[in-house]
Amino acid sequence: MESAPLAEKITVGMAEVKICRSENSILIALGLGSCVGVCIYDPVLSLAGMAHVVLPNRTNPAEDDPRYADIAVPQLVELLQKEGALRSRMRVALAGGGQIFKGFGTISKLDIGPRNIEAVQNQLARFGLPIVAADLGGNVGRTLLFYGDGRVYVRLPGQEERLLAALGASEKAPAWKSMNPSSLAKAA
Amino acid sequence: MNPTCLKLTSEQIDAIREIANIGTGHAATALATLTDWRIGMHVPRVDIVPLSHFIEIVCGPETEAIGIYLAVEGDAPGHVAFLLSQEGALRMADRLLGLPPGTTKTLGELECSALMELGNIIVSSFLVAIGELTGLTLFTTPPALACDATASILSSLASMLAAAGTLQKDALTIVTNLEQGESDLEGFFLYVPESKSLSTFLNALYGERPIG
Repeated sequence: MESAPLAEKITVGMAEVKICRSENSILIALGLGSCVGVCIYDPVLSLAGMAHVVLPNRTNPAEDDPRYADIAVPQLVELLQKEGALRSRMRVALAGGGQIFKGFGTISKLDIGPRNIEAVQNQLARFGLPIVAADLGGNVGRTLLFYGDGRVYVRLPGQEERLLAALGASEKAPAWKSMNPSSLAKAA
Repeated sequence: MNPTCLKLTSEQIDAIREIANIGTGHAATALATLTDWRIGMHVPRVDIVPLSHFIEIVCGPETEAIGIYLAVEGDAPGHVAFLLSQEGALRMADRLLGLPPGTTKTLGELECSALMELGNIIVSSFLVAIGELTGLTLFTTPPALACDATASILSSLASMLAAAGTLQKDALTIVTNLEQGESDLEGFFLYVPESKSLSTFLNALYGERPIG
């Protein structure tokens, strides 16, 4: 391996929201099944934040746990703003929302992934944040790696990690294998 | 209505562990009968696991595995999953389909169907044993199957448990390691009773007594 200092790995567990300011750090969400990993980057500050969304919108308004898309996304945006990030500069990459369990008949519990995708996209639209790249839906779980310099990688089981987006660069990275979640939601 | 930290005495945890132990023992016997393998079983581990650490209940988050999930319904609702390494699943498929070891290379529809049926049978054995012990009526929904990284399987399970309200701040999980006698094939039997089912079990065993 190269002699560069080892990057600090920050695990973003289910229902957690974390930010990091160091270009040498990596935010990691291991094994996004039906969960959606939301990466938001402010390229001017090199400020990265990730939310690990577990469920779509809360049904009880008293809930404040960031497992829900409508809590986690606003919380992440607010955390980044407190650190000086501007909404106008924020760039977003998403991964996850798969439906990895297959069952006999229709088990409504299995369609959490597509519902998470929709809820996260609605929240991002509320804040007017552009989704630069996304790798969503399908029947596969993903590990999401978000480097402090804005690079976002996705790793599928048994494969090498692949670049999804470079949120720090001015050029848009090609949206790799991005799928249309609305068509997936129907398949559920 | 109490979503947070379950308060159980060590005596109550022992009782829950013993229920799981007896149930899993029957599940392991069913597995041994179906496969004609020697199956070794460890003592169940009972833990209160928060959502953010749920994917750590089984080691090797990026190891490829299969997971079979069944919901438990009846007097004491809950959730059961059986996790098996990818290699273990392939060897199991060989066994179930009567093929020489090493024949199955991928899990297609037939193999997945056989594995789901296996899940159905071992979980039914588990529930029959618990039902006989407690006098409660328990049955399952049809199985669902996933082939993916362990962490993705567990996080998807956790999402389903969270959506069902079973896994709120945390949940009581019972994990039992199963091993095939001769090789290093390893599986995990995961049981997550709903919190209200814990008192149902304890009441069934000891008569009405409040938890706390």
